[in-house]
Amino acid sequence: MSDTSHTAPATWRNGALIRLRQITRVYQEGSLEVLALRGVDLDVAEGEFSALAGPSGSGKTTLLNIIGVLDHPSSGRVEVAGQDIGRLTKGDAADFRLDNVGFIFQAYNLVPVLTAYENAEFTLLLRGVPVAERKERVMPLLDKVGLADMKDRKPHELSGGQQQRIAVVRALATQPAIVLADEPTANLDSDTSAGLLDLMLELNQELKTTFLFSTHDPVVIQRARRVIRLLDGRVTGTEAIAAD
Amino acid sequence: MISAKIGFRNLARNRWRSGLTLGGIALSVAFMVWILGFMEGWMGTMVQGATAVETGQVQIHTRAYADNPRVYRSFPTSTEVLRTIADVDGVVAVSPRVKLNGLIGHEEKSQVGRILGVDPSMESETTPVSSAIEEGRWLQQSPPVYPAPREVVLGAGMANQLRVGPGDELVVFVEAADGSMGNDLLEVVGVVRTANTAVDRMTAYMHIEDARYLAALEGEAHELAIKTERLLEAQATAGLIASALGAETRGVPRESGETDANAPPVPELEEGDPDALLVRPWQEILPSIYQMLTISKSSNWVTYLLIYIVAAIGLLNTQRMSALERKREFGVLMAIGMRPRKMFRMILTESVVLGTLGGFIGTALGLSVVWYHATAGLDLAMFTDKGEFTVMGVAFTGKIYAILTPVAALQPILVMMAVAFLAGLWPAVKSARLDPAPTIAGRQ
Repeated sequence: MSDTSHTAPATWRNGALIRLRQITRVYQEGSLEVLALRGVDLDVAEGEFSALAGPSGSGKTTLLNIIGVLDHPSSGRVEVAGQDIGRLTKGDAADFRLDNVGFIFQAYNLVPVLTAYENAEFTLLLRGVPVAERKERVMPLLDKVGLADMKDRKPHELSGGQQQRIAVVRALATQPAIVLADEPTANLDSDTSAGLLDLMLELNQELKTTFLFSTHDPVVIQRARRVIRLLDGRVTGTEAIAAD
Repeated sequence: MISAKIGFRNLARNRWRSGLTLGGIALSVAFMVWILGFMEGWMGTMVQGATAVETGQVQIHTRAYADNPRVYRSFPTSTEVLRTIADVDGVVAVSPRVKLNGLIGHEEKSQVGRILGVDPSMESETTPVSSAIEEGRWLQQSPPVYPAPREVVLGAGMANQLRVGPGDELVVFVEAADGSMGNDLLEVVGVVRTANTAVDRMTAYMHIEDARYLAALEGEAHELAIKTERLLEAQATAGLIASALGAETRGVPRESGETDANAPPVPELEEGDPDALLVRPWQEILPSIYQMLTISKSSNWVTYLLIYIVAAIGLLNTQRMSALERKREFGVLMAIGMRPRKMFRMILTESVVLGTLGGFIGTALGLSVVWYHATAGLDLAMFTDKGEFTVMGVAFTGKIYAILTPVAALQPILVMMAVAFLAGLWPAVKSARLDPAPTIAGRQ
């Protein structure tokens, strides 16, 4: 099923967790102005498992960065859970991310000197959660991703897929409202990618966490419940995909 | 806590670089620990050498004598006065002295010298002169009966100059307090070598009664030399003595470490009373030594600057390189919710961890060397062709023993921690200002 409107289906409109209106992002590269986003309107409802699909340079990462307050839009309004996050200060933006957003990166980006467990609990540490509660939250997730017995390994002692699963635990440990994943499977082989997507989908259904991930891999796109297509900084369409 | 953990573990990331930086920091701290311990020992030896044999730590003269020493500017000494001084808290011993200048020699050679009339046992308790006898013996407690020659103990330099030794006879001529010339026949009974050039080259010790007779100073003395329990508290002790005697004291500005806060107020004397007694600590009597001590302490900070600036540059370079290499990691940490302020603290913690760890290693190393030089000593004389060297009238012929003080043990590491903090500021500020998105993308 395909929908040419750029906003979410009618059932989500009133309760959108993420609401973008006329978002533009212009980068200055020397004397050149690069238009990364050109008036994006987008609603994402709570509990979605959606993919931002499009070729390189289509604006996927920029859009994720703006939703995650890693970047500010040049114009337009960004709301997450009703809060305008377009102009937060650096410190407030960090707090917002810590409280509301989990990040999964293409290159895993674990802290190399910390163990798998320490990486997984890092965001909880930043929030000042006591040690017992951290353990209570992290261990079931490590168990869930099948890495409880590897919790004391350093990132370089884990495979790419294992590192990415630790990154998923790190993103989910604080029980954020949104998990933003930028090309999470780009560095993984197809089997590992499929396993990771299954895991993310399972966590999405179990924890009701909203997942929004960017990808240009057709296999990954097929696993999303909704696909938002981007091209040249514009949303060109959204598709809802029925569950298997 | 997590900042310190990351800091410690990052040290192991690039072992060579961390090792070299730690080594540089450790050596800098070790050197400063050693230099403070050694200087404490050297300065202590110098002050001890200057005060122990010649002046004592506190002296009493008449005000007139202190301003312009003349043979007639003496004061009466009684057993009561000496006992009053000996009873003052901090006083170990007191020795009355008659100080005369004159010509001393024999038919072939003569020399202008300083004749010090002393009570043999009181002088022995106040200064270590009697234990510095190189040849012969110290003065007998009672002077020989006339017409036997008067006993004299010569400084080694003077004995060498006059080419005399124990058993030889000398003649002395001095100006007496009544304006006449006093002279007497002396017999050398001993030769002393004290490491104090003023004593060794210029001084002849006689019994105080012989000196009084020679200079017509019955029952009088020019000086009371006092040995105190603690060198640095001489000023406080001088105040207490002055108070006990109702005398005047003259001190120098207090220094930290000198505990004279409990000294009672000193009574004011009538202005211009030349016979008033003046009690002075060694800092006032030997201002050049005291100034050198003060300058030495100040110069430690110059040494800190020179040594630590090199360590700081190494530390700064390491931290900056590390921050540059881990930029992406920092971007990720900020992306997942680390506030810039926390990032700033983390980088600063790493710098302080490095400085502190190097400081501990350096302190341990420095203390080991100081301990060795405190027990075995360091023979600086071996670096001179004469086998001895003289600084401000104190001859250093033996070993210098370092002194381990709390300042030497703690100050270098604390200063290094402060330096590490300062060296970490720039990389910490740069890292805290990173924008996560472009940093992760490698655009910043």
